[in-house]
Amino acid sequence: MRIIIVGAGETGYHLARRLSYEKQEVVVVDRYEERISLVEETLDVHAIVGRGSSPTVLRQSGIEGAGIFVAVTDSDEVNLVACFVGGKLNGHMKKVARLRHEDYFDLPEILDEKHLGVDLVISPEAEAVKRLMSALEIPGATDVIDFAEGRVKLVGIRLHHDSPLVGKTLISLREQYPSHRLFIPAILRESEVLIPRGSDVLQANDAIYLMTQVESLPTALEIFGVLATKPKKFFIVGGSTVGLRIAQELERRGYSQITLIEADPARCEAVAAVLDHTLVLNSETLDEPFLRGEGVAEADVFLAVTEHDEQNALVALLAKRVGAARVAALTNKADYHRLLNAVGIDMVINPRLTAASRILQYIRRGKVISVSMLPGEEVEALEFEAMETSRLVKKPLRKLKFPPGAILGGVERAGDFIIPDGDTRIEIGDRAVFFAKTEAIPGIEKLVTVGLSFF
Amino acid sequence: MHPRLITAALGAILAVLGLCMSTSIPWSLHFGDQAHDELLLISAACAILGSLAALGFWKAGAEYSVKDGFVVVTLGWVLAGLLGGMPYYICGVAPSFVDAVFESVSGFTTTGSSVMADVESLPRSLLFWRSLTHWLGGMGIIVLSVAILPILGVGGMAMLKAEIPSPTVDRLRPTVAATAKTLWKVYLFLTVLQTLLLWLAGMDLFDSICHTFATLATGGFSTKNLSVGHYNSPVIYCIIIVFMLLAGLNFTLHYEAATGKPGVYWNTTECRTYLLLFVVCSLFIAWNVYGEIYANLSEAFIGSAFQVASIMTTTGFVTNDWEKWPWVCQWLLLCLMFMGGCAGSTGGGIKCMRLIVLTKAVFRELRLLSHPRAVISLKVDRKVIPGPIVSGILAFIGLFVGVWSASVLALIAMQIDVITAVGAVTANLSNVGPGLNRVGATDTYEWMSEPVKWVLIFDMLVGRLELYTVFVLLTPSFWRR
Repeated sequence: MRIIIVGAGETGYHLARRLSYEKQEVVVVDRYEERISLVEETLDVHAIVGRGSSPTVLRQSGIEGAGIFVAVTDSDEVNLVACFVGGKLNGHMKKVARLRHEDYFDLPEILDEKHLGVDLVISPEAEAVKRLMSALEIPGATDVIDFAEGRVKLVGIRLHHDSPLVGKTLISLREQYPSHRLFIPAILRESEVLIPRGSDVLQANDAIYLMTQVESLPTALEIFGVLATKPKKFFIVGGSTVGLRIAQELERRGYSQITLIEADPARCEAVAAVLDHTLVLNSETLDEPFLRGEGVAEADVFLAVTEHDEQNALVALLAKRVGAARVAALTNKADYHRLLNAVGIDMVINPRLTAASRILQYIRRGKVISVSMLPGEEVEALEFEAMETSRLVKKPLRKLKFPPGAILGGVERAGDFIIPDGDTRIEIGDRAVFFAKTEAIPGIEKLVTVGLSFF
Repeated sequence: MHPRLITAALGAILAVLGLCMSTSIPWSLHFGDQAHDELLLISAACAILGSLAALGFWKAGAEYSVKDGFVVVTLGWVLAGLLGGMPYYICGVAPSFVDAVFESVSGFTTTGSSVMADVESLPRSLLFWRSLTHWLGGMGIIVLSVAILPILGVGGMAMLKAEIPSPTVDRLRPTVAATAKTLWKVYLFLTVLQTLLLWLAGMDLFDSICHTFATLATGGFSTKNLSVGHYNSPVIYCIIIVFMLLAGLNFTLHYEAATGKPGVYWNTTECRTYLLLFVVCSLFIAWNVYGEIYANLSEAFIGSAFQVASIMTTTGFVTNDWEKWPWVCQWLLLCLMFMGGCAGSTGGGIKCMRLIVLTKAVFRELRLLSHPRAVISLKVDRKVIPGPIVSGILAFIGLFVGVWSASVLALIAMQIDVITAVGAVTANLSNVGPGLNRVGATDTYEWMSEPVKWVLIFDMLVGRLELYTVFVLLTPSFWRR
């Protein structure tokens, strides 16, 4: 299938890279030559310099044969017009647009078939904040991904060096707590995501990904030595879209001790005007005395979400040093994301990652229910519903041939969570969650979708 | 500055005044009092002179400047005050010229402080005129708050804008004239409604009309020596309490409520604060006076609620002699006088909205002490009040206190005792009417010396015109080209 991506910024570039790994026919359009040459040099995709909303350029990109059109430039208006023009050139193609400004949702009908014709709207900032919020609700969690409408969760937890679980193998863990149904389908170690085997040993500073049912989450957290205290004191550095959104979301959830620090005085005024009881501070310097003076030492959560990835990382580390319990940093770069986890930043807010997950999920729609990328973007969690025609169904798992680098992370059957072993059989209607490295994804897709023998 | 246009506008005001005054002639004939000749003479003179000035100086197509607006408003009120007092002077019911002017200015500024001890002996037609001056003053205030105060940035629309909670545009209607007309309709509707209710409750029609005029303009002139207390009827008290409160609230809220948003009363910070203050103060006073002064619980409640509403809306009706109440109650009433009504009401005083902004500004300063780098926007009803408006409001309150102090000082210098001076100045600057001690609930201003009366006349005028409208005329830069 031909996929056209307009905009070769962070989101567009990585989406193109991702899809090209999966052997899709990708065309990237961007108005900046340097971005296009980067794409051409590093990726096996077709790249065109030109305006993404121009009919001429879009014709050049071979839009007539395209199946999916993704507009992810920095400008909402360009994205909308590109979708509109693209829709005129090819009526069968599905169109995805990134929108940053929420005002457009005040009049959702402009996006529909009759008008601009956008099939899917993604707003990376909003979705990243949503993922952060669900992680914040679970004490000690570094990341949370929901499956089966939230009945099953994948929770990232960092193991501290004094954790009783350090040095244990996954097998012994399961034997020690047989009733808890703990399953760890992925581990973020140093800056790499591993899909572990039973004999792998847990190490200090690992961020383990734990698959569990919502009901058994509190006891599971106890095993991992996480104290279930509700966070009270929040700090947000950076008052841009993400920072403001987080503050609003926290206010909406009834948190009262929120401090937002922003360097630009005019932005401070604008932010203070919309927020109800968040304390807005205007400060350019974010040194240790300042952070201490404002009480960061007692902070439960410290979020660095300015527009500068590097500053976010350093400020978050400084806050951690000063004494903040959980720190988070925003980054749009995959390399940084892994690194941040490795250097001890508890949570990473990655708008691009969540946006890419949404787009991938849309591109693979019909086959998957959800797609979520783990940090570093090498491993995806794919959620499927088992169909009658799937090769997966009704055979013990050991008889199935899994592509290397893929693992079945859990099965949800009628409200019950099953940790799979060799004898597990998947029934029709089960929800199955796979963890797969990029190269294994086509294999998994083949496994779960309609088997050839059916025809 | 366009002297011709200003003269034309003042002429028009004069002509309207004359026409309105002529409506008291039928009452004179009806009641058979002796004032009809004088009233006819004065109203005819006003109407004719006014029309001549208006037509003679009118220039088609000419535009008024902002400065003209200030001059017309201030001189208009002065002119109305002077000529509106003529009937009292010429009919001989006011002992002196200053008394006639005092009574008339008190009427047009909707103050309600009187120099007439025995109003029941006055010709009924003059009583009607006295109440009508309130009602006309109230209409004038609506225009003032829509057309003039927004320009000053300290009251009126600039504040209305900040306080209307729904996503209404800057005004209810796109033009000043349309907004004023809408609010006048609300005013007229409430007038008809209250007159009917009072009439049904047992007042005669004449008294119903006069008391309605005095209520909705938050004036306070009564046709009875004992004020509303004359009727001794809980039903009448309650009707008047409700309408006093309605008059003390922002009139745009009534319009919005009438157009299908009744929640607006509770959702607006100013209105909510105002009504809560009313309830809390009424309960506090009722608790203080029950038992000692009133044996009957409902009497204590209605009495205190009536007096609190009357004072905090700056109406100034009296049902109970609050000078017999404990000092704490009297002082609480004095504090309420300072506040007065809501922005956009016919009430006087500093206005509830300005005090809300002041309170928030104080808390902001306190918060800034512990967080010097904090950026705190001052919000009312989730809308930011821009810095210039905040400082305009704070300066207004400062000026109010300044005028108040100077006036009290002047009165004390003129041999008035301190409590009387404080009461009189507060009651007149806030356009309430009755004050404390020798100008208390059952007293009049008759006994005061002429200079004292002039000071109070000045206070009534500047208080009514929200200080700035008058004081801007006193600045040299206003007159410079």
